[in-house]
Amino acid sequence: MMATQPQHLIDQNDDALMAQVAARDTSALRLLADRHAEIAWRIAYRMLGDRQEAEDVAQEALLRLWQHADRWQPGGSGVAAWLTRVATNACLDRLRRRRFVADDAVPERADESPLADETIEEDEVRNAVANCIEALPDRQRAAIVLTYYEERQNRMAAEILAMQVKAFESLLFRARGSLRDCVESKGVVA
Amino acid sequence: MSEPAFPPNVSAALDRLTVPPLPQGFGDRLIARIEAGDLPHIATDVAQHLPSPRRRFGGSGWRRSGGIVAIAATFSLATATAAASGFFGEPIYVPVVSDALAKADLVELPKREQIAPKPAAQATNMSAENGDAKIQPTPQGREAVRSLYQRLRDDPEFRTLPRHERMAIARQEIRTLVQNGDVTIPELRHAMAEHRLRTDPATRQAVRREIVRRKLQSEAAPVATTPADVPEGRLQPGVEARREAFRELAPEQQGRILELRHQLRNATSAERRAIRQELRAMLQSHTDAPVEEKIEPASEGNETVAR
Repeated sequence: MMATQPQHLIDQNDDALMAQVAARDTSALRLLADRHAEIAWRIAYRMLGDRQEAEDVAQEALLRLWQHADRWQPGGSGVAAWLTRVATNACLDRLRRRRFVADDAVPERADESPLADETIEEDEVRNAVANCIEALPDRQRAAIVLTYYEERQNRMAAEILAMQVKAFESLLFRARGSLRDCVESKGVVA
Repeated sequence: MSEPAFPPNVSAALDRLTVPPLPQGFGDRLIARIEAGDLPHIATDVAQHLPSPRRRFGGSGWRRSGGIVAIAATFSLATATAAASGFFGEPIYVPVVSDALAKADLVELPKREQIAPKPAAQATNMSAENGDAKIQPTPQGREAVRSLYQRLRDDPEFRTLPRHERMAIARQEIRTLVQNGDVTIPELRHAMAEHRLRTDPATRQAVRREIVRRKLQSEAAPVATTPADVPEGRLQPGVEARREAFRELAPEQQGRILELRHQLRNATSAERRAIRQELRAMLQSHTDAPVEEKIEPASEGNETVAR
């Protein structure tokens, strides 16, 4: 990230920055990216398992924020929630798209762990968990990422996925069961 | 997370899935894309060519099923409305839809087909198949019974049935006539008496033999003296025969019989026995002649024989 930020923007809240973004101030967008891009990145990385795709999703989410800045309504759920929603749906779109392309075009889940610093056992656990999450259906995967890793409430996660809360809870119940069974079956739990 | 979703050991494993920090130069590349005009489309290039089931039909299978049911129901309603309004040619009567269209003065109610009255029994069906089902005024009274007998007689299928089945069908038909009010009981009796007259000679002979047999039985049996012994509306054959015999007696004999009957009311049991013997002897002497000629063919009480 850029270290230098305009001083007059640093103290402004997200709504004020969005007003600047609407005025086509790239500095304001960069500041918002510094504050919130990490969320989109985490979600995309865990859902897609690919570093390059995760960065694409995070950038896409922020570029959409840039495009729709003139329609931003202050006092809403906030930039972080907005990015969470956009990133999650972008990931679901990409996962759905993967099913329509050849298997050899699907990127393998990148092993980002620095082997030199990790033990073999830790690497096995990490890969096993990543594979189990990848084995979940798309929406179940999103439900786990949002509620477990991003610690979103069920109501908010359901809203992001455009679902009724009851339906989401049912989805989450199935996702948890599948993930638990998978992780336990891998033999990587203590 | 508001509740423990996983056992601790599973949570510990899940927590190993860490995310590396945002790549270096993320912000620079973001600004570079903006300055280069490399902005995403509202719908991505690939997504434009792909179906979007999640957003088009909703996320859950339940919602998808609901959509299919709604489409099917709409199509059915549209088809029914088109048929009722004559879109496919002549308007067809569709319950509810046609009524609603007629109420809105959009279409006239199509004439419903004349529904034929439900046949009461098998014999009616058989006669209808033989072409007798033309719309004619329903015969009433004795004529209804005559018509019924005629129809049954003319039905070849009916004639091939066993006797007990023919009787059952005829009884059912007559019962239906009575229940429908097409014929009253007295009319039915008269009609049946007429029918008996028209039956073949062998049957008539059998009827006469039966009448004679009953008459002889009644002569041997005690006289029915109380109204309770006689079924309502009809006389026993023996009584009728005795009356006939009484009418043919000489006046002095008739007077004697009346006197004896009068004495019978106040006589003791021994006297009553003697009076009855005298009465029986008087009547017996008069009924020794052939009885067939004395009995009216249309006399009542022979329905069971005719059947």
